[in-house]
Amino acid sequence: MTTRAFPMLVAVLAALPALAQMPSPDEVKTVSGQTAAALKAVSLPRLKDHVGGTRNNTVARYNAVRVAQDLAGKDLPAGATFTWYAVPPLSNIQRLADQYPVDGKAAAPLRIVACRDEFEPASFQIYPFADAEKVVVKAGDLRAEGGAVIKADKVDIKVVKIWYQDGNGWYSYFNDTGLKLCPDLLLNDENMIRVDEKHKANFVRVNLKDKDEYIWITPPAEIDPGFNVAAEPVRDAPTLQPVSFKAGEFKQFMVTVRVDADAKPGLYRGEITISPESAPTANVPVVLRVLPFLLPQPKTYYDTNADFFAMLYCNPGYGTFYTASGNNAKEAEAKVYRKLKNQFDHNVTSPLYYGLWKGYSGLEGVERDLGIAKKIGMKLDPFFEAYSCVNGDKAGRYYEILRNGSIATKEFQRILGHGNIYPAGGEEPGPRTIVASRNGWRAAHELGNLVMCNGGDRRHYSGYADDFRVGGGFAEKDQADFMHRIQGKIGNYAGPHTGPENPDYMRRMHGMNLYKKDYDMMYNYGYFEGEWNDLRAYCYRITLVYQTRDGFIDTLPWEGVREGLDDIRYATLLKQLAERAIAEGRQKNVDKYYTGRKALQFLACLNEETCDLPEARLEMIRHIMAIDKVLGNGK
Amino acid sequence: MKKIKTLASASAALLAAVSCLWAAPETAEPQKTAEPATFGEAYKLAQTLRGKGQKEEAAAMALKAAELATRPDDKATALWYRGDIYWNKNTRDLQEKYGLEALAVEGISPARRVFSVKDLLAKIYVEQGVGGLEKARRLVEAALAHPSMSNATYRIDISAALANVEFENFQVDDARARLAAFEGEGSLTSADKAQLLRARADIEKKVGDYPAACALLKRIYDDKAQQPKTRLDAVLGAIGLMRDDNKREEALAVARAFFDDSSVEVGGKHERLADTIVRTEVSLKRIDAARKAIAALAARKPADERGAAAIDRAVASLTYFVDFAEGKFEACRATILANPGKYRGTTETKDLSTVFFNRGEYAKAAEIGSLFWNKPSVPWGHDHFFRSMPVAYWRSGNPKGAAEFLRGQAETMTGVSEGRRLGFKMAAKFYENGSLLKGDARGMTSKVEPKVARDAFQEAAKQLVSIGKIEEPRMLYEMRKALFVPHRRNIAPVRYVGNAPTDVGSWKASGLATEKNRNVCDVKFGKQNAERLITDVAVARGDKVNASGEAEDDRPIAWFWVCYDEYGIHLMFEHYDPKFADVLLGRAGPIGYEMYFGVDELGPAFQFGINPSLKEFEYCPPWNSPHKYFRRLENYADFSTRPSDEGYATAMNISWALVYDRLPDNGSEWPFEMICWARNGGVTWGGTDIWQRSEWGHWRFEGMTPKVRSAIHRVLVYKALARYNAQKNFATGGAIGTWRDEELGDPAFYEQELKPLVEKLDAYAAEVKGEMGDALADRLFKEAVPLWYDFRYEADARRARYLERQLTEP
Repeated sequence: MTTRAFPMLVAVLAALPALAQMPSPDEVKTVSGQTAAALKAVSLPRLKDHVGGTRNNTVARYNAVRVAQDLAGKDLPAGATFTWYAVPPLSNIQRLADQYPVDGKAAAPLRIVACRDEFEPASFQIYPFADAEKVVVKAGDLRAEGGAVIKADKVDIKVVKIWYQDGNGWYSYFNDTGLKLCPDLLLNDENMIRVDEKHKANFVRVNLKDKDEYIWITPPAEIDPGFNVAAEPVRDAPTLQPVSFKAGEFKQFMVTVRVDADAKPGLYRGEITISPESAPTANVPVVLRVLPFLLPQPKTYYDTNADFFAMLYCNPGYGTFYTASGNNAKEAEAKVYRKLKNQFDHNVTSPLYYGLWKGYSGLEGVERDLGIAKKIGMKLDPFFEAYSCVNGDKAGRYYEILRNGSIATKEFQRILGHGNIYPAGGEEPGPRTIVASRNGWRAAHELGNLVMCNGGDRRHYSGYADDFRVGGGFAEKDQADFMHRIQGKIGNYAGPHTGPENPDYMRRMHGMNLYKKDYDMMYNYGYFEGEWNDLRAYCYRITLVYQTRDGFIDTLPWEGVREGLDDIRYATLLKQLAERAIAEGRQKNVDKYYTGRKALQFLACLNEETCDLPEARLEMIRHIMAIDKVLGNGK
Repeated sequence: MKKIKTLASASAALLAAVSCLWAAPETAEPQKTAEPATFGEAYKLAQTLRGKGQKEEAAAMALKAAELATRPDDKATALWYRGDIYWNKNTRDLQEKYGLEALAVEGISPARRVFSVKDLLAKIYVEQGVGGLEKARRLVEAALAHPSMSNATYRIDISAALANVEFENFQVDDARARLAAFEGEGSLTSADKAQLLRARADIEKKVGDYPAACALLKRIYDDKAQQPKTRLDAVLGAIGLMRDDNKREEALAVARAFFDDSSVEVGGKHERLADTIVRTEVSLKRIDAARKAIAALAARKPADERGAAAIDRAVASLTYFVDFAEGKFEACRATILANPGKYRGTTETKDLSTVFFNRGEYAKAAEIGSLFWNKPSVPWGHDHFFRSMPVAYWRSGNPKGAAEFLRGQAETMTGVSEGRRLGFKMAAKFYENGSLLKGDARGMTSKVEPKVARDAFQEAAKQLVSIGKIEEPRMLYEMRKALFVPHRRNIAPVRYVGNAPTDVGSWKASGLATEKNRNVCDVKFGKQNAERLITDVAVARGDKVNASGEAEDDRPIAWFWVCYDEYGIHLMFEHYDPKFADVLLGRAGPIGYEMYFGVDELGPAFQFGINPSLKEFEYCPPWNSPHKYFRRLENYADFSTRPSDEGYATAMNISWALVYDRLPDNGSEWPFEMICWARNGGVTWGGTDIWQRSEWGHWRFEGMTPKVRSAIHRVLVYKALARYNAQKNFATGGAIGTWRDEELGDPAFYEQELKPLVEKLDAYAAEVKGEMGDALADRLFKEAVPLWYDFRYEADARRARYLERQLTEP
């Protein structure tokens, strides 16, 4: 065994970021050698110049030649200084600045398929042949042939910021001591974060009254005092700001179209204009198919009548925001609203306030918080983790639970209009605590409530009293089967925790992986529990969004979660229609019967751990449309 | 009445004496006389021994004290103390035994008896369920029957204690009845009645019946025969319950009535009631009413100076409270600045400063916040606040203020290490000079211990990061880092071995698994072990981690060997377990492992856990979606375990198919880490915590000649082709077979999108022979293997594009 004091870079082709999708050194060499042919086939002078300028950088040359090859025969303005690639928005591929998009299509339209009442993403990457500043990227209206319009303000464009995350970035939620570049943030103002590649450091802009200041947010943990962005004035712009292009560096944009529930079905067309200050504008075509279906709320796979819930544990709320805003109630309430709205718009529709009930002294806060949740339309029936019923083996605690529970039930009934509430049975209680909580849980049941409790499998000492067990770790079908066999429900967290930046992975693990394993709930930890500095994380870097003074910055994995839950909504629609077709088809209409059953067969055979999720979504849509046809709805 | 008072005072005195003894400094050195001569000396010595953790010696000394005692109560106290030394869940029996012995001492006073009984009930029997309850009942029954216990005060006291045990055993009616039974006794004094009602109210409160508890307390505060303080306490107790029961108007009415009741005059009454009224009104958002209540309090100023000052203080405090609640922060600021001495060190200054800071009013934050820190008794634990203060000064253009603040902190802050104090001074230097040079930092730490310098660099760096500085914190970080043993990243050469070993037996027979070649895990697991100062004694001595915890046992705990061949990577790891004989007999569980390896420095990593007693991975978490560039480890690895010399040896094989698209080149380095969960604490090859990827060592691939590479390609060509051919089988769900199926597939899609691809791949397949030359193997590997091996991903991608086009092209 030999040792050395400092890490060394990989010897072979040190210039190559060794990522999964990076071509082999052989391929890089081969493609780079095709420069002359590529230049001959393309007519863009700026691209030719650019390729010529890459002779000293193997990767840059490889990328430039690949782009030139892709653009051969394409009709681009002679003065064009960039092109774009339509790319899958939520891919396993890390789209770094020097990563040629192996799954992208050059100068192709963005194709989007969405139901009504859905957000649907698309993405493109710019490949500039020349540097450019103040490039305006703007969406136009999307118009259908019949005159229907989806206004431009429903087309949100954000720049995907590549910044430093810890050495486990993209792949796990654990803390590490090193840093690496990772695409993650969805920003309106790319200059809000400054990335210093020379020193491997991220900086965030703090908007002081008289000036802006950049604060180093990735110091080593040992010297990081903790940067409180809630208290510090950190803000993103409300809309997309002009961006800059650097020759040879890919830059990704995320496009999210909001299709309202009342949108007219049909094929919409529009474009995104990209206007550099002193170069021709490019128009990226956008084609949107709005399907004639209203996307239902998610139900479970095992029962189309049973709700599938989504919530996120257990971020700070009003109190923290109030303090951070300098005791400004209005600002704090606005932030609570934005937090819940952001969750709601990402399909996380059940709010979670662990132990919201703190006695009458906190009633005003309960009414305020639930009022905001109601205003947004969040799902409050059932209402989860309404009060705590942990412990209770001591008489004092038992009677306290009984009293608190009884008052909480009464007050929630008044505020919510129902008594369907689940108190929290504990916080990852161990076997001893569970046994010590039997009286407390019993008290909750005596009050007509049901118990929800996170933690590990406890079938040998608690199953009968567990109404909703939220299991930690990777989801397992047999755990769900057990809970359902004893007429309980099951949720999941930490399978994985939030943190991995890979949006496809997050989509899968928060969506079909839970759905197909018969889970009833996604209840992950957490929304923004992690900090801006991965290095400072104690153990996990558990975050889906980044908190600013007045709001939250979305990320690729957060978009993945939304799509994962949308996958469940599509599967729900498929199952609902299939069940109808089967029921109707049994009355001697074999086509209906078979069409419904084929859809179910497709879903049953779908491997939630390995399937290609975009393909699975489109296949579900195909089945949905086929069933719709046999049901005669389309007529 | 007088007698009762006397008894009560005696009881209090006895308890005070006991508590005085209890409170005696337990760390004080015992007297040098070998044998204590008196009860007092022995008792004190017992306390000292107990304080030192010498339990048995302390108990023996308590017994000695009992023997030396000349008064029954002293003897009982000593015996009780002997039992109390055993106040631990595992030695309750001894505590009970000696507690009962204390109770059995002849001639003890009633107060001592009550104390002992209550102590046994509260510390032992209440924890013992029904059995404990029965014992408690018998004990109380016996105590009450004792001729000395005729006094009602003691009887109520002891019965209330029993009622509590009954309550804790859910015998609420018994508890209620036990106390209610005293109501009929005619000999109760007012104090007895109050005590009884309080005990009954306590039960009702614990049961959650707040109105009943309030009714009982009302009987106390309505009883004009009660002492004013007793009445006031009862009123405040009842008001608290009413507020908790959301009966705030009721609470206000009672508070106001009592506030105005001139028949009850007791020190602090108006301040305490006004406090309740004001806070309740604020909670109801009735600020005017709250201010009126403050005015009413101000009008109550008594003639005596002390009382008047107390009222003034309360008025000011409540005014501040209402201003703060109403968001009148400028008024709060004015109040504080009008009398800064009064507010110095109070939490009001910290809270108000925080408000101004969070509003971006940094000058005001500094101005008010500066009053908080400058009080030596302020406990540490407000790091964020204290670190925000220099920021506030800095952002308000007052670096000198920041420097003064930090120098003041260095001088007066309590509970701060020497290093941090030095760090404050170091940061102050920056604020004074506008920069901090390396020479400055070095000079300031040249004469201090490395651990002091370590803390100083850290604190100063944190201070300067807080104001957005980069260069100075980086410099300080590097200076700090230089004090530690540098972290090493190991390299294990991974060499090509023809016919490589694949199980423990073949490894052992191969001659590869030698002591010389092994890669040893000798880093102690745990983040706290990551930072070892070069000057640490253990570091200087070269101490190694060991398995048994015995100093002389310096055998390595765990190690591994690794090599590769054309089929994959082969790994054998082994450990030394001092309890291995027990493991083989099933008397102890085996030692397990957690391992990782990454594909290239920045590529995906695989994590897996191995328990040598299991035949499959203990865990192998799915950390990525399987896709064209990533496959999951569990489908590409196997392992087997055999007992070795004094531990298990495990051989593991990882197929190249796992990483066929990113095979290593000669010299490629892949991160690898192994953690062995040894009995004396985990050991690792290099990392200090799980997933510390940047600390993992590396496998360095050697001998990857073109010939070897072709051999690997050849194996992968066969494997990939087999996988591709399986896609043709529609009976088992193969993609090619299924898409061609008219019912479940989509022949049109197949014809348009897949057929050309299938034809191309079939053409490649026709080239595969039993004996393939290197050139052919290399070409097929490059051109056919990616599509053969992961045909399904390609088919899925084509299908997705096909469907997308159908939906978006009219």
